Amino acid sequence: MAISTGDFDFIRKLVLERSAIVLEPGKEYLVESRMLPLLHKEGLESIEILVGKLRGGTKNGLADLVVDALTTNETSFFRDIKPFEALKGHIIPDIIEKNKTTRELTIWCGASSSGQEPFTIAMILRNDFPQLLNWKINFISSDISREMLQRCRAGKYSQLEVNRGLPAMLLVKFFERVGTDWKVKDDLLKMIQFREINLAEPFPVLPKVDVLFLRNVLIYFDVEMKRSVLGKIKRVLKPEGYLFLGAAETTMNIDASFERLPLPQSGCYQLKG
Amino acid sequence: MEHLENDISQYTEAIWKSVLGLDVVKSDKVYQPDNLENALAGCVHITGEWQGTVTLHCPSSLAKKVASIMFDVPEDDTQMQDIQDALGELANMTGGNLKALFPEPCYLSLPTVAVTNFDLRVPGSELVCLASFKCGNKPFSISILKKVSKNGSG
Amino acid sequence: MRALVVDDSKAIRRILSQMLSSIGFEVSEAAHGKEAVEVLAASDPFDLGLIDWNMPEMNGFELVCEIRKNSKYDNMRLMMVTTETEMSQVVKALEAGANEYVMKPFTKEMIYEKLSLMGLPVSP
Ligand SMILES: C[S@@+](CC[C@H](N)C(=O)[O-])C[C@H]1O[C@@H](n2cnc3c(N)ncnc32)[C@H](O)[C@@H]1O
Repeated sequence: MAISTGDFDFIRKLVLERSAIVLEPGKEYLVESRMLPLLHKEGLESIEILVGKLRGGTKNGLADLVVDALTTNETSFFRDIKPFEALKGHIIPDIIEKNKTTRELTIWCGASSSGQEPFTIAMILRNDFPQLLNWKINFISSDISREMLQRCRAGKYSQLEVNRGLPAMLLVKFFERVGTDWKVKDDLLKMIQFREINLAEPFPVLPKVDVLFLRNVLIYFDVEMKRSVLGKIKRVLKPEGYLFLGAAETTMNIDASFERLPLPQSGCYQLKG
Repeated sequence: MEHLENDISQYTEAIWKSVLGLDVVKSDKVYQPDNLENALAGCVHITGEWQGTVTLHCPSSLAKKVASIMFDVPEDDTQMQDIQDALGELANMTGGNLKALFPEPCYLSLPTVAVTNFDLRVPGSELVCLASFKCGNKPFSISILKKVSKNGSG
Repeated sequence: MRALVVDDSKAIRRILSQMLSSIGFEVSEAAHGKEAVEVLAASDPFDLGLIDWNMPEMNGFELVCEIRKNSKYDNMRLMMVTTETEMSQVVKALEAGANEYVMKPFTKEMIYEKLSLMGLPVSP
């Protein structure tokens, strides 16, 4: 099924407007393949008919489903490892020291996809920092995709997913088998509050954040939007808070108020003092 | 047993995709070999709390393709021994994954591969699930036979 | 780095050996636990063992126990690569001294990610 230039343009603009995700010309194949399951589910015969409905605005919620289908949700437990080694080796110990009087820790995972990243962080907190057990932990995890948020709240992973990057020792400790799936145990699941937050829009009121994971999401935005998101982050991050970006992302040439920490391959930044 | 059929599909798709890089789709048509000498079956037995057999039935042309991918050789250069090894390992993965869905403890036998007539009747056993697939234009089926008289034979 | 791949399927041995040698490992193979014990005794120490569970002669679980009995192999990291996927089996293998566990089917990414978790170098 080929998509017409007009229809591609319409979807491109819709997605840009709603999620800030940039679909360059040449990504027609991506739109085609991602729309197929949606067409099937909605009982629509072609992208042309889908775009017709979107233009007519007859079916509310359809636009959200289109945006949802065009998010890329690739993720895994302990993805890239180094950021989590930095978290465990430096950052959490540092925050425990700094916040020892308030005994409060605030973490925000801003593009959590199917949940492997926030659950990785939660496992590190539970497994390696028993002293945090009587702290108040505010752990917010968000994404724009409702489908992904549903997956996060269910905390269920296939065998292929738990095979990727998850230490066997942690699988044994924090998961249980449910049929063919592996489910995050309730006490870990309950640590995290999952919310729908669109990074392209003004942020909701949030507590000031000690650690912000925002990995592999800025790459989908244009420079202006990257700058705007980093600008908003400056306001929610504590002055000494930590920001994690993905391996292919940087604040360089976008926002000069951040500096990269000398923790190898961690993609960890702090606001300049 | 629709539940089990879904589980078989999920595992089969995952196995064929990750090990072979091949997409398989569910099919309504049960695989029927046109020529018995061309049909192969890889099977593993499960014993313990649940007793039965998981079998992967396929045309030898598909088994050849599987072996050629796993051994990284052209299809025409695949040896019978390698074809059996490859098909046996697929049966092993399928049966092993399914075993975990049965009551514990269960034990998995080593795989065996045979040129077979496609006969699902085995005395003392009943067919509890049969799932059919297509890999490209090549069909295959996976059957689960359950031993009904537990501890019956010796 | 030296690795020993133990699996009764020649196809799996080939696939795993290929994955490891392409990131610089020197790989030996064994078709079951007994053979692995012989290879271990006859060669220089290995840094890594990838071990299937269900095999003839001596199974992978017994092999892990055997290897962990000998302090000579303390630095050898052991990873089960097996179709045994019950939680109880994972627990049993870890308690016997396996360092990691991969449930078949596996991909190259899975193997490499697990190697990194065990602190082994994964550079092509
Ligand atoms: C590749 S995943 C990254 C997952 C995880 N952070 C990681 O690094 O493994 C990108 C996620 O960003 C989300 N996303 C895309 N645009 C977004 C937006 N405007 N607001 C919030 N999340 C967005 C997608 O839904 C997707 O789940």
